[in-house]
Amino acid sequence: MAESLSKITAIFETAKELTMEAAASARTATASLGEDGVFRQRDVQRYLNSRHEKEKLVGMKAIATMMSKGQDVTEYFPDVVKNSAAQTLEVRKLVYIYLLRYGQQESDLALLSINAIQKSLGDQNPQIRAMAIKVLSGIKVPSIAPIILLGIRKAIVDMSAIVRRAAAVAIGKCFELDKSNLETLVGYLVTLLADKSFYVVGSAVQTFVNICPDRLDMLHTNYRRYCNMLADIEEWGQVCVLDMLTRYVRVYVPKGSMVKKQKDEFYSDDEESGKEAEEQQEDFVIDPDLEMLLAAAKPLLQSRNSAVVLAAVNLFNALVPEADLSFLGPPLVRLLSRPSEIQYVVLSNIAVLAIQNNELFAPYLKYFYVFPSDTPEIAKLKIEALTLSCSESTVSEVLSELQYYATSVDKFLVAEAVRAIGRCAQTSNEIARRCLRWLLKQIHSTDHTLVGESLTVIRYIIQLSPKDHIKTVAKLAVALDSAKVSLARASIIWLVGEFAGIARYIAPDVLRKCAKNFADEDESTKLQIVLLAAKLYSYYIEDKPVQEDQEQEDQQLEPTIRPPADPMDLLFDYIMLLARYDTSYDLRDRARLYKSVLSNQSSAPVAKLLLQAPKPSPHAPSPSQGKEKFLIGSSALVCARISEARPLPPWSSDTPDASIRDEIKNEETPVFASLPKKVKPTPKKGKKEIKKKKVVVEKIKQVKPKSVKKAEEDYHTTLDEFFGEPAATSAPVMVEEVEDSEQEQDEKEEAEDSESEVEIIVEVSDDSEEEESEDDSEDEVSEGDDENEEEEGDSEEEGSESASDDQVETEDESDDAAARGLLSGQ
Amino acid sequence: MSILAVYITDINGQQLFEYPVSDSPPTNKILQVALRDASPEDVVLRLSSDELLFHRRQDALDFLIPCTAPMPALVPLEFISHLIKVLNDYFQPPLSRQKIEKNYSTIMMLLNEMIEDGYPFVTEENALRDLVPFAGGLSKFLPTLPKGAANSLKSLTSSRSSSKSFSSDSSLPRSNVPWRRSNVKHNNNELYVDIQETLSVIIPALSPTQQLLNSINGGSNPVPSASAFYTPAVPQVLAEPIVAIAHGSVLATTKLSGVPDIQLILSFGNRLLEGPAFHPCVRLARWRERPGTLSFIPPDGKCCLLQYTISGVESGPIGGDLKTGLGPMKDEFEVRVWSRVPRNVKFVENLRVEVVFDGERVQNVKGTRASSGEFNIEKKGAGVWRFPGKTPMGWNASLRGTMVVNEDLEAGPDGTVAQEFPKYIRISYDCQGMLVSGAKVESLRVVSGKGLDDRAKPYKGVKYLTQGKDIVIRG
Repeated sequence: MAESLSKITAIFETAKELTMEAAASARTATASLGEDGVFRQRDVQRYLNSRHEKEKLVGMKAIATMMSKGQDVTEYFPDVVKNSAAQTLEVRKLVYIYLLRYGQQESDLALLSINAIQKSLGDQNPQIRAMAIKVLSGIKVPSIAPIILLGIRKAIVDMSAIVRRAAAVAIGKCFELDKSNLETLVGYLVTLLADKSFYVVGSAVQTFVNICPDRLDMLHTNYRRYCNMLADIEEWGQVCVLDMLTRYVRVYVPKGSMVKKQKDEFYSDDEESGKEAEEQQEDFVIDPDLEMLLAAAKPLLQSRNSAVVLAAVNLFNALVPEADLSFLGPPLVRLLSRPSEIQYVVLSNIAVLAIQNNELFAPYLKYFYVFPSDTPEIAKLKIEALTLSCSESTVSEVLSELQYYATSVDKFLVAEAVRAIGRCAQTSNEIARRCLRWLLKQIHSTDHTLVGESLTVIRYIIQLSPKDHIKTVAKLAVALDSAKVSLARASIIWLVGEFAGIARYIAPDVLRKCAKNFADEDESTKLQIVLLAAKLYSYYIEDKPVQEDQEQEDQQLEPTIRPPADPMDLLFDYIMLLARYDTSYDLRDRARLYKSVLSNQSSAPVAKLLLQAPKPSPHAPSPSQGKEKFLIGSSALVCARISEARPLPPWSSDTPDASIRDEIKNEETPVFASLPKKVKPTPKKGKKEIKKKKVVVEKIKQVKPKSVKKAEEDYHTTLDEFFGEPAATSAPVMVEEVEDSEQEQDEKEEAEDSESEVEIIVEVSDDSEEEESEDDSEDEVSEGDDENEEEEGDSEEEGSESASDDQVETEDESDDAAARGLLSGQ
Repeated sequence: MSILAVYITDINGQQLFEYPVSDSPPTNKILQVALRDASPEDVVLRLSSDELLFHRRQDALDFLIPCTAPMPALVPLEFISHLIKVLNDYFQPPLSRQKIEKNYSTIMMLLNEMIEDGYPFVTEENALRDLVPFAGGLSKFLPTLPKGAANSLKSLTSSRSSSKSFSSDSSLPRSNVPWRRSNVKHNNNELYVDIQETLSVIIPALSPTQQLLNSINGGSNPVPSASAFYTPAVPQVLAEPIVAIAHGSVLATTKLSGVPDIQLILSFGNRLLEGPAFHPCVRLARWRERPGTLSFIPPDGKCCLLQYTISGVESGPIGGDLKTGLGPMKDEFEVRVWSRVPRNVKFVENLRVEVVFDGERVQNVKGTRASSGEFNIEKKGAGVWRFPGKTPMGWNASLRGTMVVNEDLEAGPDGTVAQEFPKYIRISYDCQGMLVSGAKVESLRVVSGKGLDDRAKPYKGVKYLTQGKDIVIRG
C-alpha cells in the first residue's frame, strides 16, 4: 500500500514536472515574459532562479534582450551568477556573456563564478575548455590574473587546437588586464607562435601584434613555416600574418635589387608569373626567403575576403615595388563588384597605387568608367583612377569620356571631370592644346559649374607656361563677348588682367569694352573690371618716363584744365568714377583704395606689389596625392586626419644572416647543410616543435625575476650591437642560457612528465649536439634546439658572455659557410 | 586595433541592438551625431584622433562598428558583410527590425563567437551553427558531445588527410574543414549550382556619320549587334559598347549528408577571368592545373564558390537606343528597346527602362506615346518605362515624347532656350537561362562522400541568371 502510494506520488510528481515543463515551453514559445516590452524584475528573477533549464533560458533570454537594448541589468547579477554552472550550453553561454559585460562592475560577485569556470577548464569537451579560458580571461577582475595565467599555461599545451587558439586570444586579454605579466605572457606566446596548427597561428599573431609588435625577432624560426601555411590560416588571421611578415621582411631580410646578366626567374614556381618573368627586362634578384613569402602571398590575392586581398597587395607594394606588379590589377578591379563601402576603400587604394605606378591599372581603364548608379564619392575616385592610369596612347579615349561627364547633369560629376581634364592636360603639349580648345568652348555653356571649373583649369594651363598662351588670352577676350554667366565673365576679366603684362595689347581693349556696359554687369564682374583697370593703369604709369610722371602729377592737380593725353588715363578715371557711385560698398572702397595707391608716385612700389605680384600657379594635384605615405589598406588612407599608428619599419641595411630563419630541424637529416635546395622548410617539423614548446614552457616556470632582468640586459645589448638599431622597448623574453647540462636535464625531466614523446626527442637532440661538435657542416642543428631565437642572436654575436663561447664561435663560422653555400647554390 | 562595439539601428538612427566589445565604447548617440555631421557618402568617419566609425546600410538597417584607428579599413567592412551573411543564414533574408528584436539572445551569442579581443574570430556560417543554436532549435545538453559528432569527426579527419596533405591534428573537433559543420544529415540529398552574372554596359551615342548611315538605311527595325551568338538581322549601325563588364558568382547550395567531395567543371569559352576569388573550400591547386575545375568539400547550405569578372562580354539579350531631334518640330525623342533572340531563353523579366534628363531644365515630358508598357515620371529628372511580367524574345517597343523646357531659364547665346532631350537611358532586367559571358557548367558530380549513402543519388540542378543592372545607352 505504502509502496503504491509512493508510486502514485512519484507519478504525480513527474506529471507535475511535465506540466511545468510544458508550461515553460509554452511560455518560451509565446515569449510571455516581457511581451509588452517591459520586464518586471520579480518575474525575471523568478525565471532565473527556477529549477528548470528551460525557465532559466527564458530568464537569460530576457536578460539578453535587456542587454541588447542597452538597459542596465547589473541588478540581476546574483541571480545570473548562480547559473554559471547551468547544464544547458545556451544558458551557460548567455551567463558567460553577461559576466564578460558586467564582471568588472561587480567584481566580488563575479568571483563567485570563477570556481565553476575554472572547473570547466578541465572539461573533456574542447569547446567548453575553450569557452572557459575565454570567459576567464575576459572577466576584467585584476585579482584573478594569476588564475588566468595558470589557465593559459594549461591551455597552450592543450591537445585541441580550438583551446590553444582560445589561449592565444586570452594572452592578449590577460595582458590588457595586468600589463606586469608581459614576460610570462610573451613566453606563452612564443609557444603558440610556433604552434603547428594553422588554426592557432592566426590568433597567436594577432595577439603578438597587440602585445609586443616590435618583437619581430621572435618570428625568425617561424618565418618560413608561416609562409608555408599562409594559405590555410583563416582569413582574419591572414590579414595579421601578412602585415606582420611585411614588417619582418623590412627589418630582417635583404631588399631585392636589380642585377643584370643573371638568370633568376621571378616566382619561378608559379605558372602565371612565368610569362611576367620573361617580359621583365632586368633581372630582379631577391632573397630566397623573400621570394618564398611572395610566392605564398600571391594566392591570397584570390581570397574572397577583400581585407586579405588588400593586405597582400600591401605586402607586394611594400616589399617589391620595383618588380612587375601587374598581377595586382585584376584582384583589385574585381573588388569593384562589392558593396559601395568596400568599393570606396578599394578605389582609394587603387588611386594611391596608381600615383606610384601609373601602368598598374592601364589595362583596366574600363573598370573606372562611371555608371549612373555610382555614388558621388565613388565617381570621384573612379575619375581620379582614370586620370592617373591613362597613358599617352589612352589619354584621348579617357579625355572623351571625361568630357562626357563634364557635360552631364550631375553637378558634382561635372566639377570633378573638368578638374580631371586639367590633370590630363599635363600629359603632353598636344593634349594640353586639345584640352584647352575644348575648355574654351565650354565658356559659353549655361552650366555655371562647368564654366567656373573650365576657367580655373584654363588659368592653370596658361600659368604653366604663360608665354605660349598669349593667343589663348586673346581667345578668352573674344569669348567674353558671348559669355553670359557672370562668373565666367569675372574669371575671364581676371585672367586677362593677370596676363596684362605679357599680352599687352589685349587687356586695354577688353577694358574698353567692359567700360561700355559696366552698369549692367554683376557685382563680381564689376569688381574684376575695377581690378583690371587698376592693373592696367599700374603697368601704364610704370612704362611712362619719369618726367612725364612728374608732369602727370602736375596735371592731376588741375585735371580739368587740360584733358589727359592718353586714353588709358581717361579709361581709368572713367571706371573709377563709375565705381565711386556704385551701390556696393565693397566696390566703392576698392576703387578708392586703387585710386589713392595709383595716384601717388611714392606709393608706386606698393601698387606694383599689390597689382602685379606674380601669382603662384594653382597647384592641381590628384586628390589622393600625399596619401602614398599611408599603408595600403590602412584606415588612415581612407579617412582624413587619422595618423598612421604603425608605419612600416624602414628597410634595414644590415640584415642578419638568413640562417637565423632556419627552422629547428629534425637532426635525422644532417645532409641539409650541404643541400641548399632543401633549406626551404618542409612542412614536416612537427615533432621538433612539440619538443621545443615543452622546454620553453618549463623554463617559464623556473624564471625568477633576477634572471629575467639579466636576460633582458643580454637581450638589449646583444640585439643593439648585432642589428645596429635600438632594441625594442617592450619587456624581455624568456631568455635563459642553458648553462649546464644539469639544468637541461631538469627541464628534460619536467618535460618528460607532461609528455613521453617529448623526452625521446630531447635525447635525440642531445645526441645530435655531440655529433655536431664533430661535424661542422651540421649547422642546422644548432643549440637553438633548446633555446628560442633570441639566444641564437646571442650566440652569433661575438664575445658573448655565454659559457660556451668557443662552441659558439665555431657554429658561427659554420653558419656563415652554410649561408655562403646557399647563396652560391642559388 | 580593435572593434569597440557593434550597433544595429534603423535608418532613423534609433538603436535596435548593441553589443559593446570594449569597456566604454562610444555610444550610439555619439555615433549618430557623427553620422549626421558627415556627408552620406563618407564610408569611414573619424570620431576622434584614434577612433573611427565604419557603417553600412542593409535592408533598412544600419550596421555601425566603431573601431580604434590602426584597423585595416576593410576588416570592419568585411566583418559587417560576414555578419549580414550570418544573420541571413540564421533568420532568412531580408533582415528586418522585427527579426532583430525577436532574436536578441541569438545575435548576442553569435557576436560573442564572431568577435574575440576586438577582432573577428569565427565568422563561417557553418562553424557558427555548431556553436550557437538556431533560434527555436534544440539546445545541446552538456557535458558530452553527441556520439554522431565524434564519429563524423573521425571520418572528417581521415577524408581530409587523404584528400589534402595537411598536418593532421586529430584534436580539431570539427575536423580540418572549418567551413563545414559536423554531422550533417539530409533526407533529400540535393546539390544546386547557380551562376549569376551582373551585367554593366555603356553604349555611347552614335557618331554623326553613324547617324547619317542609319537615316540612309532608314530601317526602323531595331537590329542586334553582329554577334554570332544572336540571330543576324538587317544590318543597321549600332554603337559598340565602350564598356561591357560582367561580374559573376558561382553559388552552390548543398544539402548533402556527411562530407561530400564535389567536382564542378565550368567553361568560360576563351574568356579571361580577371582576378577570380575563391571560397576557402576550393582547392586552388586543381584550378591552377585545369582552370575551370572547382574541386571542393562544400559548407552545408549556401556558399559562394567563385567570384569572377569578365570584361568585353556580349551586350546582353536586351538592346536599346535613343534618338533625338525627331518629328516636324525636331523636338521629339524616341527610345526603343528590343529583345534579341538568343538560344535557350524564352523571356526576360522585370524589364525597366529609365529615361534620364536634366531635371533642372526640363519641366515635363509631354505627348508620350509608348507602343507598350507604361511610362511615368517617377522623380525629378527621370521617367521610368516599365514592362511588367515577362517580356518575350524577338520583341520591340518604342516610346516617343517631347520635353517641355523650363521657361524660367536664361536664353542661350542665340536668344532661344535650347530644346532638351534625354541624357541617357538605363535598362535593367533579369534573364534566366543564359549568361552573357557564355560560361556554363560542363559537369557536376559528387566525387566521394563520407557519410553519404551510396545508393542515394543526389538531385543536381544548375541555374543561370543574367541580371542586367546598368545598361546605359547615352544619347
